[in-house]
Amino acid sequence: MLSIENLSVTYRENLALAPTSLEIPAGRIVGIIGPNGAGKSTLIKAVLGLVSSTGTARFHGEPIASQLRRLAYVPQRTAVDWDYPATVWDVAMMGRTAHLGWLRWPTRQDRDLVYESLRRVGMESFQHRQIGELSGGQQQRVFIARALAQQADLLFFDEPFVGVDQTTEAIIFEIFGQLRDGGKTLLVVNHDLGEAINHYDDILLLRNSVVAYGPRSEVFNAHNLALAYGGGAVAREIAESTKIQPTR
Amino acid sequence: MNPADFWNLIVEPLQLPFMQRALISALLVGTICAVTGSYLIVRRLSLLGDAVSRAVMPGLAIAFLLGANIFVGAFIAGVLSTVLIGAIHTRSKIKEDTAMGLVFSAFFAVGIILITKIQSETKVDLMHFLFGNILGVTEADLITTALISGVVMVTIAALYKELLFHSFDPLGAKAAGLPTQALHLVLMSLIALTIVASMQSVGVVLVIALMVGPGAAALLLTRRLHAMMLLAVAIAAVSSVVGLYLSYYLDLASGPAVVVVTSTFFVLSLLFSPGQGLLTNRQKSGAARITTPLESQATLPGS
Repeated sequence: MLSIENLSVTYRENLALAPTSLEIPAGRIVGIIGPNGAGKSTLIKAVLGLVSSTGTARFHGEPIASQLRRLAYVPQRTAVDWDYPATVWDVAMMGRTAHLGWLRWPTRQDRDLVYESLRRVGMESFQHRQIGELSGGQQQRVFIARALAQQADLLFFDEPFVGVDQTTEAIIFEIFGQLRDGGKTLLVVNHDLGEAINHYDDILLLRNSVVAYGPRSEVFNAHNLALAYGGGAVAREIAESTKIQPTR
Repeated sequence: MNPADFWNLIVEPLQLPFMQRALISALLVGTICAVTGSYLIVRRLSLLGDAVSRAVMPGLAIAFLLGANIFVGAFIAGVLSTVLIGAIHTRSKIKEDTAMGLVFSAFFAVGIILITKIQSETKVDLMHFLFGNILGVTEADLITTALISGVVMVTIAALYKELLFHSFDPLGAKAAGLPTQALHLVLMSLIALTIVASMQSVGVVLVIALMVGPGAAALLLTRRLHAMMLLAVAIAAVSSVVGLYLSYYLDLASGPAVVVVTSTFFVLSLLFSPGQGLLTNRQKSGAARITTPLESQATLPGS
């Protein structure tokens, strides 16, 4: 259970996220959607303590800052330099860094776990490749493998489907399903509202504050989309592409 | 030239104590510059390295005036400058490059004013700090350099996996619970220490070349950080030795001679790297990633 209470973020006097309170139960895949600048990434960064915020976030009743070993964060792929001198293996092994602790080197168990994580995303045969030699989808899968290697209970994904191929998208959703079935909680920022929406259990519609939050079938309707995106062309386009009847 | 003559050319300088000290000093400094410089490269902080190298000057002068250890003074000024640069760009509209330009030139100016004042009263020489005087390295200097090198190398070996994660993905490292601010401060301190240890041999103006030259050449030839660092150390070591011999026989300024050899290695790597060289990489397979300026011009409409 992730409990967010009155979390808000202000960037240079602009309110990026109005005070937000949420309870997110375990075993759910939550899609965080909303227009550009709606505070989607900001929300997860605030929960993780990556941006300064007011309010609190707790995981199973404990402050998030004390629970970081139990969560994993997959940043936007563009947030890192893929020319970095590291192999696929090196990046996946970074998922073990915090768990290993200071002055300790990976053990057999860590190496097995990293190999297994790479195998789950179909990247085990690329382990010696330099990460810059991969396609966008493959790079994203390496990031997912790193998150798997962290063995987290609460996982955050920031735009994991940007610039990835269909194979990768299918693999990622398959892994999301496996994690959910294992009782993990997943928060996924996604600006693409096509078919992908159907993979989420719950939808969190954001527009600088929570527009709607709940099971997909209850929340994902034209009324709420109009509230999030405005009543104009964008909402009509979304309704069209996702086969929702527009409000009259 | 017969082998015996060649052997004499190699051995002759080694019989001079000042050349022995210069060589050991150059190898030590080359090693830590190559290693910490590799972090500057992958974190895109090369300009910060340059800024810190100038910013050590006032600390050095003030320490001298107070009768304190000049290395300690220089180190404090170097770390202080990175903290100031960080504070300016996180707390105002001023961006990091501007903050660096402002802080390092202000520190540098104060340093020069102080040292020129001291210079007129003592035998301290501003030029030695600016451009180094590796042939004048004393035994005490050598011990200081060796101690600093030891601290730098042991710290990097101990924190290797944390620094790897942090330098690749700072946000991810922070989210995973690593103390990223402390790691950043450690890295900045290592860079300041490296610069302080290098003042005597190459001077503050050229030290950045020793920090990024070998690492940049190595980056084009390797695919993992530790391999890049090891190759950079090898390049720095060869450059130090070759540079010093050139300086000895051709009567060249020694610090700049080492830097020129380092830069030559980089140019060779840039042109001839097996996978990524400009002259050896006409067709790149796989993900199209590297576009040389020539190639991107060729795709412009109308050209």
